[in-house]
Parts: sequence; C-alpha cells; structure tokens
Amino acid sequence: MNNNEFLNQYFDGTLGEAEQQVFFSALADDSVLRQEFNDEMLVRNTVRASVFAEAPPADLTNSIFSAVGYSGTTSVGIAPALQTSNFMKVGGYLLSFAVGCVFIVLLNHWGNSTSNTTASRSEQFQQKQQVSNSVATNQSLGSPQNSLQAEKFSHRSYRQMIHSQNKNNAENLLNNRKREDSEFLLIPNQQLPNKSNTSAPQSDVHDEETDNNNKVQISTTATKQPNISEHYSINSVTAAKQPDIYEQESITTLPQTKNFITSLRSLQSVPASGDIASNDRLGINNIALALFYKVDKHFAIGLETGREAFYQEYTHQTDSSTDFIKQNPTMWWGGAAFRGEIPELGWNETLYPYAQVGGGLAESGAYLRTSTGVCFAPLDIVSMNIGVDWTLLRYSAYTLQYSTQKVGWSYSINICF
Amino acid sequence: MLPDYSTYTDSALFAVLMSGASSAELAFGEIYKRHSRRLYLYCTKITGNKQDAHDIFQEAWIKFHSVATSTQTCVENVAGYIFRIARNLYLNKKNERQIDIVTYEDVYSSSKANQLENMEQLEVVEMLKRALDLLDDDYREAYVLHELDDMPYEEISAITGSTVAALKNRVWRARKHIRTYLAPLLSSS
Repeated sequence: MNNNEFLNQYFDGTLGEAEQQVFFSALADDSVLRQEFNDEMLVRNTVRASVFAEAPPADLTNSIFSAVGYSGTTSVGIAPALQTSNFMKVGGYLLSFAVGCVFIVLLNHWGNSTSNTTASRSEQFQQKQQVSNSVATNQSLGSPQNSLQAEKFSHRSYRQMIHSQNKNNAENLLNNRKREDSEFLLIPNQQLPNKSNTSAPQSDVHDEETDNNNKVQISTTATKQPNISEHYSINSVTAAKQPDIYEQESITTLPQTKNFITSLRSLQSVPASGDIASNDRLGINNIALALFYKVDKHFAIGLETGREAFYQEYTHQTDSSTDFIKQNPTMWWGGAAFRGEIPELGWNETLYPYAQVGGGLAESGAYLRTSTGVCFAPLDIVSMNIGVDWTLLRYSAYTLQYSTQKVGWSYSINICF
Repeated sequence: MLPDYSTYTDSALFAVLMSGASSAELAFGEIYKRHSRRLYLYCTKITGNKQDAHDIFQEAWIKFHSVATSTQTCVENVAGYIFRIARNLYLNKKNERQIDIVTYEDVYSSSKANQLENMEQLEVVEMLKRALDLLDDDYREAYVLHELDDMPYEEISAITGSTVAALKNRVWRARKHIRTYLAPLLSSS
C-alpha cells in the first residue's frame, strides 16, 4: 500500500491499527506526505465547517406537505411558516396597535366615569360644607344667601392671607376685605360664629382666645376647617397655620396611589434565523408578562417572563467530524426587570420616554434585555409603551459558550393597580 | 392515542405509509424529519444552486410519497430510496440541460482572481464551493455523500449503483482535485 492509499484510508476511517502505526511512521519521516496530510485535514475541516446542517425552508416543507395532501407541518415538529407578505405583517402590526389604542380609549372612558364619581363626591363635600356653614351663619344671620357670601369671602380673603408673610399686611388685607364686602356681608365681628372642629387637633390656638359662646359645632368631614370669624378676630400668624379648604378638597379627590404595574408585551424582534423554523408548539410566542412595583414616580422594579425564539449556532466536534448546527428554538425566559420613566421630559406627562433593563435565565442560558421608547399614559391606571428592543442570550452547547442577539421592537399595555 | 413513531424504524414507517392508515401523515412526517436535512444538503451540493435544489428536493418527496402509498413492496433502505429518487431527478434535469453547468474556465478565472485577495475564511469557503462545482458529477456526488454526509460507501453504492471500489476511487480523486485546486490557499495558510 502506498502513502496515498494510506492517506485516503485514514480519512475514510478504514485504516487498521497496525496500518496506522506504519502510516504515522511514514508521516514522521516523509515531509511531502505530512504536507498532504495537513492539507487534507485542513480541507476536510473547512469543507465541513462551510456546510451548515440547514433544514429545508419551512415554506418548502409546507408546499411538500400540501402537495401530498397533508394538512400541515405539525407532524414534522416544525412550526408552520408564516405565509404572509411584508405588507400583511405591517398591516398586522398596525391592526394590533390600533386594537391596543381602542383598548386604552375604552379604559380611558371608564376612567373618566370613575373621575366623575369622584367629582360627585367632591360636590357632595362642598354641599355639605355649605350646609354646615349655613347652619352656622343662620344662627346669626338667618339668611342662607348671606351665609354663602360669607363663606365666599372667607375663602377668598383667607387664601390671600395665608400667602402673606407679613402680619400687618394680612391684617390690612382683612380690613380692606371687610370694607369691600360690607355691602353684602353685614356681620358684626362678635356675631360671627366660631367653629370648633373637634376632629382637628390643630384647630387654632387662637380659638381658645375667642369667646366660647360664639363657637358652633360644625359637623363636617373636613379635618382642617377654616372659619369665618377667624378673619375678624385672629391674627395672621395663627391664620397662616390654617390649611385651605380647597387644599382639603384637592386631597379628597386625589386618586389612590397605584403601586403595581402589570405589563403585557408583544415582542416584534427581527430574527437572524433566516428560514429556520421554530419548534413552537404551544402557540405562545413573542410575548412577555411583567409585574412591577413602583418605587416612586420614575422607577419600578419587578419580574418579567416571556417566550420567544432565539436563533443559535454552535459546533459539535467529534473524533471524525465537525457538525455545525443552526437552530431557532422557542424557549421560556424569566428574570428581574427595572423600568425607568421620565414624565417631566415628555408632553403633559402623558407621552414621555421610558427605558427598561432586565436579565435572568432562559431555557438554554442567561439573557440580558434592554428596551427604550415612549410611554403613552392617558390615565394613571393604564398606559402603553412602544420602543426598540435589544436582547442578548448567552448559551452553551457541548461545554462551549456562545451568544446570540436579536434586535426589534415591542409594544405593551400596562395596567396599574 | 397515537403511536410514538420516533421509535419506529424507517421500514416500519414506510409500511405505515403504505397501509394508508389515518396516521400515515405522522409516519411521513417522521421520515421527513429524519432525512430531509441530509437530502436537502445533497440536493444543494449536487446541483450547486438553491432553485434547482428546491425543485429536486420537492419533487423527490412528492414522488416518494406517491410510490410509498401505491406500492405493495416494502422498502428496507428508505434513506437510500429517497436519495436515489433525488439523484434520478437530478440526472434527468441535467440531461434535459435544465441545470447550469459550471465550466472550468469560469471557475479558474474566478479562482485566479480570488487568489490575489486576502484569503479570509469566507473566501476559502467560496473557493471550496467552486472546487466542488468543478468536480465531475460522479466525483462530486460521491464526495458530497461520503465527506459531507458521512454516508458509508455501501449505502452510497445502494443509491448510485456503483461499486464500493469505484466510489472509493472517486472520493480519493475528488480529494486530490480539491487539494490541488486549493493549493495556493493551503500553502499560504
């Protein structure tokens, strides 16, 4: 057997042990044979490296199954390829976006109804105030109209007074107001009732200085109720400590704090997988669900999980061959997520930028995911995000580490509660 | 409950397909899953272009299904049977001159041009592809099946009808041709 036959039989894997010894000896002695051996080894590795074990394209598989009268590719374990044009895909994106907007509008409508309910409560509160004050003033004036005017005066002058830093200015203002309003408020100072709100511990040090006979119990839900007589009998220092009734109302109508956000996100990534079909059989793909806790107005932390395909390539080296594998498996992932929002930078705190970073584990390794874009928040209970995504997956195969990444965009609907 | 066809042999799957049972689709799917990649690689390499490869690949599977559902004889070597169908389709197309033949001059000129450029890996891969294209059909077929597909000579023999000795000879000569063609790259690397 000559050297050329040795060489070929070695690469065919048909060389016996004894022949191998002879061949290796010849390799050590013959530089030409050694060069041919090295060349052939290089060619062989390069040839195999150049050939990826590509699966036939999904659309080709589909057409074969259709041609033989079978329903689909589920029997092959390959997800059917999306037989849609780019136009249809874009249309699908727009349609889903429109559905999301309609959803938000409906929620917005529901939210407005809720706000109206709050407003009604506010009106009830005001009416209650008026009734209460009427009770107070009726005792001295016997006129509901006057009592309303007195209340009006009370609010207006009081609001101006508490913003005054100067005691004399406040007193002057009070005196001016008394003169201006005397034509419709003819109430002697001593006739005006003092309110002693039992539920307000801070209700006026100076109340103790006033005549107890003038005090009238006012049944009100307000905890910091200003009173009419204060404007006549108190000094501005004590008055300045008084809160405004409007402030109270605004506190009453504030929405409840919503600390949690649940987010359903649709991931529209651009895979590098070409025609390699995914193994998705669940029908849950390119979607993520998250639960965040709002640390403050700008930041939220939480957990996010999802399922999507990650294109992978890796090498499997054996004694006789090198296999290059390409695949596009759909897998679950989950981990921590951090979201930041800057409403101040946007428009009317309704359309503003956001960014999200997350990391955790996928079925085949660790991932890092970032997203940034804009948030549309017409209500405090619902918002919608749309942004660009970048995801890095680090995976291992046959003890070697690889990484793959995907870039795309996503949109999500967020519900706060 | 459907049987787990992944545990069936090829010939057993072929028998299911022959019987026309309701689960024939699953049997066909299993055969397809097992051999589609190899056949696709074979078609791609033997034709040298994707369009022809797709045509032959599709026709081969359709013909295989047609024969399997109409024949009364079970096939033992299913993989060889499908490859033989694809090979015959390829030869028919080639005889009908439906497949572009790469000439030596085409490859040689591009090879000389490429030698002047940096020998990056992608170029090496491209050169290899051209070297494969340059081989005679018999050599290329034997080389692709044996070197790229790891198919034993005996199995190739069943597909092509050539003797094992002849196939070995073709593979060896193909190796030498490719080494010679890539000599400038190999010496530089």
